[in-house]
Amino acid sequence: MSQTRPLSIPVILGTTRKGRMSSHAAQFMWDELRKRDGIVTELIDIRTLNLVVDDAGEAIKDPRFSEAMERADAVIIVTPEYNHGSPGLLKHVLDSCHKEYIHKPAGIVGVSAGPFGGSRVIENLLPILRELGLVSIFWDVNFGNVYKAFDPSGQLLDEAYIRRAAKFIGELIWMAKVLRYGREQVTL
Amino acid sequence: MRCPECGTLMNKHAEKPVMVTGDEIILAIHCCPKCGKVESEELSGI
Repeated sequence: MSQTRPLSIPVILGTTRKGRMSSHAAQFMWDELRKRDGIVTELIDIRTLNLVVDDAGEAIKDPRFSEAMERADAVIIVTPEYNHGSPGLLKHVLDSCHKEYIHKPAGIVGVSAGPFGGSRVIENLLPILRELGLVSIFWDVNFGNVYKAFDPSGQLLDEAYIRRAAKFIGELIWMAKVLRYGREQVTL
Repeated sequence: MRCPECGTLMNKHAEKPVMVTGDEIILAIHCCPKCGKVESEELSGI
């Protein structure tokens, strides 16, 4: 097994809105991930991608995003919950790739102003991830009442999220190792 | 299929039916065990 290569696990910040509290959650998850050995990671802010909105799918691929997804052994998707769903532009970005995702694990971090921590948007995303070829893990991180989880500067106010993130990242890394072995060594 | 980056024999690990301009094809996915490069290959439908 080629575990000599570090695992590549990008974090996708899935909203472009002004004042987005999800940026604090994405930064926190990225910081926690960077504490692990054997991981290379980058924070991908979908606001920075060059995707037109008058076409869709692979026709509009952003080379940077596509290359990051191809290199990835797993992805973390940080999404707010807007009217029980994900931001339309996050779906637009995810739809721009396909072969890059197949048999790679995805963990979802939900963010909401209310108490449910994005649990509805996470459920909403699962069938989409499946169709894209991604494999969902069974840990989520739920940032409910996000205005109490971070101060306006992004400082974490509830240290329980450190333990929750550790469990989530541990599961994601396990899945990333196993599925990399499968992609590279187990023939269909 | 050989990896276009390093020439290693790639591993086919997935097949998925997809619609391309109204026709169903099978998209086969290959992964390089050395560098992780991903390639797809279009096969005729079922």
